[in-house]
Amino acid sequence: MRHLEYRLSDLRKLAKQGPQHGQTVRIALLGDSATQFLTEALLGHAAARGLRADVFEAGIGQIDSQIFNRDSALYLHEPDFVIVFRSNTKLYEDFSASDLAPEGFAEAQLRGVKAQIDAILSFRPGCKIIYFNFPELNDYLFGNYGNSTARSFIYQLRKINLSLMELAQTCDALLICDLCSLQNRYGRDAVHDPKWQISAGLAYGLDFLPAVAKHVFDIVTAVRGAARKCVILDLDNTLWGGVLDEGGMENIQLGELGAGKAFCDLQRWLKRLKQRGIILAVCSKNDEAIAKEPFQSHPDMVLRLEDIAVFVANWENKVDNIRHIQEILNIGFDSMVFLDDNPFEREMVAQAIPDITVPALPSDPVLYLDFLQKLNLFEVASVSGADDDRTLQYQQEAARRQVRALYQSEQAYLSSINMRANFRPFAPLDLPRVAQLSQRSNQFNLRTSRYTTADIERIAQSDGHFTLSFELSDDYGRYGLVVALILERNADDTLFIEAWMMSCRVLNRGLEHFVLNQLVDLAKRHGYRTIKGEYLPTRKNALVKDLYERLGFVGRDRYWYLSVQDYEMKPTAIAAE
Amino acid sequence: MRVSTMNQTMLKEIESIIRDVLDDATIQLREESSPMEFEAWDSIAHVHILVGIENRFGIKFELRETQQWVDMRSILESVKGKLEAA
Repeated sequence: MRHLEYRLSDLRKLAKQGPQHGQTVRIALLGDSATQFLTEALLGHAAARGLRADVFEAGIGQIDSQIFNRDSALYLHEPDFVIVFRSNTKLYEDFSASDLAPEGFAEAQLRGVKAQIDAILSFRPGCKIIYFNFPELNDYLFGNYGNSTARSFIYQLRKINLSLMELAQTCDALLICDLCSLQNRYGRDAVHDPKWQISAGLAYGLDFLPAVAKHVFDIVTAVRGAARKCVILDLDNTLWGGVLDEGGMENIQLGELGAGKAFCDLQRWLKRLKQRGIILAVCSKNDEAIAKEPFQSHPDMVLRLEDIAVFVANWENKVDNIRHIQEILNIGFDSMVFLDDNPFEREMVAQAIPDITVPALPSDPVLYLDFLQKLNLFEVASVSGADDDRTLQYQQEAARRQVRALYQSEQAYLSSINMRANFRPFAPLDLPRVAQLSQRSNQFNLRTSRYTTADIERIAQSDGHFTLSFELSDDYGRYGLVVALILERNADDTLFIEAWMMSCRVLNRGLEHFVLNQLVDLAKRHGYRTIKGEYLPTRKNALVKDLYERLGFVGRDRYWYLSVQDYEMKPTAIAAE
Repeated sequence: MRVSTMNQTMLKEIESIIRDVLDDATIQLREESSPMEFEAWDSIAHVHILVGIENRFGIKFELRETQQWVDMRSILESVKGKLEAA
């Protein structure tokens, strides 16, 4: 994936061609200004990402009339995403026209927003709301003193933006598209275009809309499970200045003074990404011992060896090395980012592996960090505590693979590592992790339904469902929660497997046998006679196409059925804890 | 450059912009041509075309002058006026 920035004219053309195939995303766009140009940009971005966007555009100024009417065209459209696009100019008009005390404006606005959110989620539960926040607009009525009084518009606007953030933290289905940060990036002049505002009703300038549409689709694709998970790093002139060779570490530039600072700043950001769950890998053309030395003992290095999940340094070509890294991590190339200062290496990798993201780093290293942040590569739809351990988990996996290489048979190896699993219905602490598993699992995922934490909470408390989560560990470490099952209790003594998701890190261990054994046991205990499953094919889950068949289910119409009574426990090297 | 030649050059540039926005490579523009002749020239295309012309010539139109345009000649006059003032 190479093109991350488009112009409006490009998007207009892409929108016209549109992808003929590809999954459909249903979007509703509500605005208090002219939204046709944003719609064009959205269609263009959808097409660029291989999606078909079905966009319902309500007429201008119909936000509330669409939201609060359960029979409105908005709900008839059955959107997956509802975009609420309110402009800062309309907000300012409302502020100026209001009879009420200016000090209470933000609070009154937030009451209105909460009512909108509640209505949308009650008439269309399961959709996501993408609410645009407000680029800052300062009328300078008080000059800088506007910061010292709650009566100023700038004060109330900032309070609204902050309150939107607080609201989003309590409501999973609400996602803020941060236009305010975008204006910081692109500047007021790109956002505020009075000529088009007055003549065409456009709230924000035409140069701004492609960026807005990009960020909307960054959110959409993250919700749909396409988060980036890994950064592969070159070393020379990417993580430090200069070239590291046998001459020693003293020759590279790092540190808080001079050219080295740019690299330390980049490393600091990468380290924070790692701490929030992104995996870092190194892929360098160098001798391994030489390449590792700065990570082990250079005083100014921010990244240390334990921050790197997979460290590859040799004289092979980078394409092969990156394929090797992908095999170890077992994540899609489309969830990887490759950073290299060398355009030749970048081009080679980008051509050989089209799915990987290869940012075209500017030639001056002092510009790297800002450039990378602007690309907004790491959008997520949720974060959970399990993210923090990810690097450690991959390092443990590397250790397992080394041991694996010593065994002749897969079975002998699996028996030797003492795998243990414990399982329970979804507990409150598990909810975010289960939601995240549903959003990120693409391969071992039978029906690929995506759930938010709130969805999982509802299901966990529902009388119409059983839930089970599984944690796995072995002699090399703990995997954490790696399987989630959601079972729907059907009237005819049937349990329907509404969701079965397994982390890609624990494939090929026979865990599905263990899970099925427990599932049948649960069915027996509650008097169910049949277990019913469904496989919904996607581009990424061919792995489980025959799963039900292999597990002994019988296919009929679109579904798979297992008789509880006739079931024989499947063998497994995993012990229950 | 003689006035009519300059007009022709500019007209060709504007023609290419309009062909691109309206997605029609067969469009022929004359000085007497008016936006009304082109079915696909709706309010959205209008903004794209004007922004295209502004970007191509590195100028910014004023609102009131855009409201007075009736045909290509008036657009050309505006463009020339802006370029001369620059």
